[in-house]
Amino acid sequence: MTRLTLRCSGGFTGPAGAQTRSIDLAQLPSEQAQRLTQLLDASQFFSLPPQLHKAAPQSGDFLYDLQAEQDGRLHAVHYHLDAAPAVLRQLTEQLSGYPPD
Amino acid sequence: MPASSYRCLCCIIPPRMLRKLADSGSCSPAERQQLLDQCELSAQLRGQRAVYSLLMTNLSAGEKRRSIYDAQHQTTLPGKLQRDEGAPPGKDDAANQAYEHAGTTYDFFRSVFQRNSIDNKGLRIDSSVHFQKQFNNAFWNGQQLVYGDGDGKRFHGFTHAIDVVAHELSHGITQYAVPGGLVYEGQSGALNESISDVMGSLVKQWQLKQSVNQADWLIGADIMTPAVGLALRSLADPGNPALTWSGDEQPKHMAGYLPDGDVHSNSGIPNHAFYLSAVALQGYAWEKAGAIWYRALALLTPNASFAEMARATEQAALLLYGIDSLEQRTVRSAWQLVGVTSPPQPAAAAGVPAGFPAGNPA
Repeated sequence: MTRLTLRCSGGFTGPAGAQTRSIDLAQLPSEQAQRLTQLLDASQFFSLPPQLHKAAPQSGDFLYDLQAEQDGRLHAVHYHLDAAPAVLRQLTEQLSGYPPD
Repeated sequence: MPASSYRCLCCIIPPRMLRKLADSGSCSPAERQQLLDQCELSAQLRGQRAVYSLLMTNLSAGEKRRSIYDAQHQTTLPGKLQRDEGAPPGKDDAANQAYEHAGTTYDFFRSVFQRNSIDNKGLRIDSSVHFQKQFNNAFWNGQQLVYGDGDGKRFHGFTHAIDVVAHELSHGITQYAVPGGLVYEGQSGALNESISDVMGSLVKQWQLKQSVNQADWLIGADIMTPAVGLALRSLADPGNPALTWSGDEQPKHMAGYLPDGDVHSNSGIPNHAFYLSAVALQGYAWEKAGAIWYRALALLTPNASFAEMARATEQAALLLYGIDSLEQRTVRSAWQLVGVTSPPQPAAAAGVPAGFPAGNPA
């Protein structure tokens, strides 16, 4: 069982416009679920530090919170996209393609 | 910025060097062909740039140069070109609104502050509409303006509100006008947000020709669905959900400052300092308070605090209106009223150095 929850905030609206995408991989077509699992594994998400912040963020830098729940493990990372490893950026881009809650 | 990609074409190796490498005899036939292909691509790109320059010659620096793109609900920027400078309106309301409001914002900065576009050198103003699906936001990504359509549940679009467009464009102006820009976290981040709110409100007031008493001082009125609220923020009364929305937690005084608060929350304090200055100075807000705030931008540093903004605006008032002028005293009082600075203590006035408690000199 893998469940991913991505929250994104920033821009003009800030907290008022924060959007969350909750994705239960078991509910996705297998190809999509496989792709997301691959990215999650490749990012070594459960070993990432809880915060990955850019040194001098600018107004276009959104803040992301990604929480992953997989086989009894739970981990969350708070990050700017520019400070995230490439695979985590790819995973974020994929998840952002799903409709918000 | 939100997960997105931006296409960039740049050639760092001069074609002459590519040809020299190809002719050097040190590479295989396949590598040689690759280098020659690259030469040709470089030439094509140079040609495109030359044609582009020719197309742009009828637009001199100092004129508006707007381009609106359709991101087509994807995240690749800028997207498909919808409307260029001077072209008639199309069928897409969001594209037309983004075009018109960017133009009014350009005109405001040009005629009120004699600023030539975002960088003061006539930078093109590029905007993309229909970013992502159900995107509840708008932003400046360091190069261009980007607008979502809203999810229809909480927000119903952003381009129809001129203060949203002016707010985002002002982030670009802050990027260029403050030496090194303003870092988007902590107090400097809240100042970055506040400056955009102030300029967003001023552009709206300027368009409507409203005095300080006529203005609504709201940011993002009519972008939210009625179920959520009336507006996003109020400069007149930050944190008043009756004027804004149920989750409005903006402080308007340092007593309510949120140490780990979002930049959109703590911006309520400098927003209110501007409002108090503008109302005290009366007339049109852009004429005095706006001019002082704009002049202060060049006096800031990337990690500026609220206290540094108070000093910068006081200094700007001095430069524009003279020492101990009504304007300088008004700005000083406004920052005291929101608790960023303290009124002078009687002991300090009597000569006790600042920092020592009255009646308890070291």
